[in-house]
Amino acid sequence: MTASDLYSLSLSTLVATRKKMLSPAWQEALDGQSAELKAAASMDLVQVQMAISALSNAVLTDIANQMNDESQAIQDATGELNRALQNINKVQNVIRAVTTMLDTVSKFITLV
Amino acid sequence: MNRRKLTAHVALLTTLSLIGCDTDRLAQFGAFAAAGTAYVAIFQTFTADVGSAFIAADSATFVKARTNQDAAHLAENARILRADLAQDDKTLKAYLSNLQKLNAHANLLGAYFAAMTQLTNGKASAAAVTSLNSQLDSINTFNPEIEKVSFAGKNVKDFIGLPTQLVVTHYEVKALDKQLKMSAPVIDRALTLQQAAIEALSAELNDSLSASLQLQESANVLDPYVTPGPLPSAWIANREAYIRKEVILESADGAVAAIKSLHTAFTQLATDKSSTINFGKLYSDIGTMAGYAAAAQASHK
Repeated sequence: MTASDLYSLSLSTLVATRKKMLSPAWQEALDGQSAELKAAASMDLVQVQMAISALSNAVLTDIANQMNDESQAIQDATGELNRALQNINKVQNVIRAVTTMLDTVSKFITLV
Repeated sequence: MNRRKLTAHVALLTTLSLIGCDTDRLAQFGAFAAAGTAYVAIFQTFTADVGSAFIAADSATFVKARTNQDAAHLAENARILRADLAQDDKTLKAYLSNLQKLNAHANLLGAYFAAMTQLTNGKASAAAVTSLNSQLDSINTFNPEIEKVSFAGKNVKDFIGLPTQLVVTHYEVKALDKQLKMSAPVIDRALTLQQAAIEALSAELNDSLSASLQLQESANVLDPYVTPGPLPSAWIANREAYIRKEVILESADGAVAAIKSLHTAFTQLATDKSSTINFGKLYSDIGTMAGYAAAAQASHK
């Protein structure tokens, strides 16, 4: 995969994740969970949004080398996240996959 | 009629026919300039929409995230959230700054189109030519700066590839001919840059509006409906508004079509005197872009 492909894959997966995490179905899944889990999901959603903003502003040539270094990790993380998003009722799975994705993304963009 | 006279007659007829053809073309340049001016005005609304939608989606997501934290967790996470918001504000400012550069670029093009109309009456004054040259210099100076602006991970320059070489056609109307020889490569480049920017921004606008609308559906349609007690009086109107906005998203390609048509018309005018310019499609595409920009503006209010 080229850096451009990795960029597109990362951004589109994050946008799809935001869409799921803003959906009524996700809220329904969260409603029955503990306050800790809801707070963790909330912090992840904030970070997903920040990653979307940061990636949208980033210049590919500035981050291409780091993205290439993380090529396999990006593909693994996006794959895991896309699979987790297929069943959002498994809230812990989704949060785990989102966190892994954010950890990966934070290796090539600044998320604070 | 001797051979010399016949040759002179044919030459005169040919010249008159070329001038007649050029006169028609001048009118078409006038129509093109008017379309370009309309496009630039809508582009300002479009970029304003993109900026507003990007920030609205960002804010709505932060608000949504906050609603899922109880008071204790909000207090516990306060330091992190404060830093996140401050960092995000910086990112949004940088995003708006990029949009402003694109607007400035479009404004220069608009000024050029306005000056161009002065040439299309066939009696270009020295002042009109000077004004046009000045606008051209400004665009030429600004093109490299706009090439550095980035959207969707690429510099605008990366979206457009290598510059193309236009073979500019010859016009008998001297002012137009001279001006086109100078301006065609610069304007072609500027229109290519605009096209690249619009393509990148349309995708981002679509994502942003989609996120905001999803939250609007929850807040204004779904949640009130399942909450015990009377429905808000605006519920039916809100539901219709939400559905209509969703439909608007489907015409997001209108902006891309408008700049493509404008670019195609310019290329045809500059390079091929005998080409047929589809002004009907050009105006229709610009109209669709205007409708989309206005609807997008309304959707994040």
